[in-house]
Amino acid sequence: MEKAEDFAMRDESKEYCRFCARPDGSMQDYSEKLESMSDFIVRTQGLSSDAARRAAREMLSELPAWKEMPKSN
Amino acid sequence: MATRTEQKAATRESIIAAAEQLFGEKGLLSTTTAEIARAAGVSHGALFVHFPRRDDLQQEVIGRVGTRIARAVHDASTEGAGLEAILRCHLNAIAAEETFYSRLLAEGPMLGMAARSAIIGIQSAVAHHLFAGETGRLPDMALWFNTWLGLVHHYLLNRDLFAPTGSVLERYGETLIAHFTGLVARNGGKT
Repeated sequence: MEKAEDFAMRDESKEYCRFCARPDGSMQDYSEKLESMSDFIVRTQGLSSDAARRAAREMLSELPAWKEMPKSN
Repeated sequence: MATRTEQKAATRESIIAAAEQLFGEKGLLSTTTAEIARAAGVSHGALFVHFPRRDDLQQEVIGRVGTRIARAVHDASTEGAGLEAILRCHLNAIAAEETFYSRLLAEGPMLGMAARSAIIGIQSAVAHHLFAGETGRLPDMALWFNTWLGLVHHYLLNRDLFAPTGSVLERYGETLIAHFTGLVARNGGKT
């Protein structure tokens, strides 16, 4: 995150980006983020929901906040 | 004089650069860690100090290429930027990585889940910007996005036939953009 608009609520003191924020500015939990990321992949790339979910789990596991989360169900 | 930390970082960068070069030239699956170490000018053991598993190095290279493409598209997506400008930026970003990206596409289905997810992640970042504006109102975004990617990827995967010498995207990029934006415009999208 480099610019103010990249941060949740444009608040540079926050450690998460706008895509990980709820409308009230608080950070989404893992299941919310997994769900929204999977939905976005299905909507824009047309993958099956299972494949999208697997990919989203892998991607989230690369992010500092979710490194410890399991990659499989 | 470089500190130990700076030397370590420089060694890591030279390993990553050598890996990207060789993955592009020889393929991700057939390039060995010994070849990467030799090209980087480090011992085979030193490579594993920086990347304990071969997959760690592969993921680092895919991640960096993906970040460069995503960043370029992100930077082009300023307020009011049209679809055509974003598509052009997307192609320019891929063209800068054409050899490696084409190999990644060709070998993607044979790579592990982590690598495949990284590829999906690159496309997610691109899709986010492509559909941020008017194009986002088109029905069935996935079909539109896959139409664009399918077109571009077909040329990349057969670049030896379309452009035996030089960059296939330099040669056909503008034609692909004109074709795709024409399709979008004829279907009520703004380009």
